[in-house]
Amino acid sequence: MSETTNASQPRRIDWEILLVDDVSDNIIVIKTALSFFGATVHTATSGFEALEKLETLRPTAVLLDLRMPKLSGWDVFKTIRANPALERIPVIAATAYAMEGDKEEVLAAGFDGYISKPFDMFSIVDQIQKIINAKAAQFPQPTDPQDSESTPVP
Amino acid sequence: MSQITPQPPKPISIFPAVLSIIILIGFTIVSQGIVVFDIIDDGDDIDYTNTINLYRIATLELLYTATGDAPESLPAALEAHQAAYHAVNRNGEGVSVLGDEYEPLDRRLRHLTEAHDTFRTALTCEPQSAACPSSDSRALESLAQALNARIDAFYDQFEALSQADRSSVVALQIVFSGSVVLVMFIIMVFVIPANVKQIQKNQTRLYESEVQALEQNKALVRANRELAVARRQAEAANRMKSQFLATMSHELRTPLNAVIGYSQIQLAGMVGELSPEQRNFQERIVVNAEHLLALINEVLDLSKIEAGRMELNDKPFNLREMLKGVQSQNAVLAEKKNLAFRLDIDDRLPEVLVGDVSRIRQIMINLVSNAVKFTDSGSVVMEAAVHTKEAWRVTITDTGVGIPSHLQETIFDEFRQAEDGIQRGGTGLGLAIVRKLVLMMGGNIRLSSEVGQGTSFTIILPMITEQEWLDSLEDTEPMATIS
Repeated sequence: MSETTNASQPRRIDWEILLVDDVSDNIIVIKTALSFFGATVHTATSGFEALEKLETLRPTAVLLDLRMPKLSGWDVFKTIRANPALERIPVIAATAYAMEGDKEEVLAAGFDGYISKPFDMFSIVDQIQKIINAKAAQFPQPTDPQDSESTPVP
Repeated sequence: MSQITPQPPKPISIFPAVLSIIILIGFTIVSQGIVVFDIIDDGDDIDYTNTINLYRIATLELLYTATGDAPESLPAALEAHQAAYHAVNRNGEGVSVLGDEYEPLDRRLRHLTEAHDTFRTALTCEPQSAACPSSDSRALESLAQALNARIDAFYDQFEALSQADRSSVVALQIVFSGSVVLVMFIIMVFVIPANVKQIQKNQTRLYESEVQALEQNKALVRANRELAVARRQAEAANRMKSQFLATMSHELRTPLNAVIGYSQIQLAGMVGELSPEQRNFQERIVVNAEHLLALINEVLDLSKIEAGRMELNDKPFNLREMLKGVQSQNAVLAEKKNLAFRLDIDDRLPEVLVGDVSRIRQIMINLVSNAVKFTDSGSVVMEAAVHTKEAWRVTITDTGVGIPSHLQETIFDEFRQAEDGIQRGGTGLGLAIVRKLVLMMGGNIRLSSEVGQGTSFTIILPMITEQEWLDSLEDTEPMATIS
């Protein structure tokens, strides 16, 4: 793991992150860290709450815990991907399923990224940045009207 | 499974055998009877001549006796007599029957002639004449009676002879048939039932062994079923174990995440400045939490390998980069201990090799960190070289405490480590995982060590070059290069 250094030159980030996790400790820690770097962090402690917030919220990225009671991260992910209005939002699996093969399984399912818990506070920003960039590359900047994207779902 | 149930043997019916024997006996009796009657008929035929001749002789005799005269045709009578004599002689029985009634022929004939003459005279002479020896009609009557008596006697004799003949033949036949019947009876009563009993016994034994075989078969089926159940249970248990591991992994990491996370945000100064002591304690929290995390990871790795769920993900990797990464990870501690920490890479090694780099790195980190951990002074040297044409090796040599020879055998077992290792914070699982991983990769691990002198681990892994790997990919999936 990382050597302990202080965040002498904190990067400033202007992301809006939706953080979904049923464990409040995780929410506090990650929210603290991301907020420290300047991100706006919205939180949801269940899959239902996350989907509810996504009806209006269009975050820069969703950080989604996979293992949640009732509505798991997988179910939330499926619902998000079924909604064209949310297709540009990177969904990152954040999970302690850090066994071999889990990462492959998650990426094969279509997640935009995978971050294994415990997070490394000093690299998480870089990791998220990479995923956001990769997702943006899938959608070229010029807003060509290739499909009926101009009429977003209300 | 076949559902054949053996039928208990039906008792063997001896009726057909008895019937056939009865038929046989009947046939014997009938055939014997035919023979008997044949013989009796033959006897009649044979004896007939004799009988007639004897009758003639007797009649002649009586006639002569009665008349005292010789027959008119004496030569014919003589001839008949001779024939009778021969016939009787030929047939020995006749002699014994008539016995001493035969006299020398000439004497007999003389008597006959004399008697004939007397009889004729008596019949032809004038009554009351002197020439008539006996003109008494009563004398004639008595003569006729005597003749009848003689004839009756002859018939009686003949009857007796026939009877004797018949009964002797019949007796013979009865004895013969009886013995046949007796033999048949013995066969029927003793031999056949004994055989039938033997057959029945055999059949019963066969039935019993069939029943026994079926029982054994059933037992086998039952045992099979139990085995299948046991296997299913074992498989279910294995699945549960895997599920348990996944759950445990998650459940253990979640609170650890929180512990490490809280410490890190404090250490990062995200919630304000820490005093040096607070900082130190937070660092200790992170170090211990990370050790615990390493332990969890290793236990899970080991369980995964043992459950056969570990899969290797071979890809090209840069050997030098990988080894340098391993070195830099351990450099801080080595520097702190003032150890000479060297990495030598044989130039003849290809720059890029193929393998599961994350697992190879795990092996190297484990061995190198052990070497650094157990060496208080001197050096730790990583040496990568070509081993053979098909293999490469990394040797990690330290000048540390060494491993006693009696522990070198078990050092790769789970939770076995030199006592010192416990104090130095090892998990006791690292080497077990290392060896299992190396073996999974088709490689080998060697250890040489001497207490107080140091330890040398050599990892030998199959050498797969990038080109070989690409070639093998093209062989299996030619479409891979298109996309």
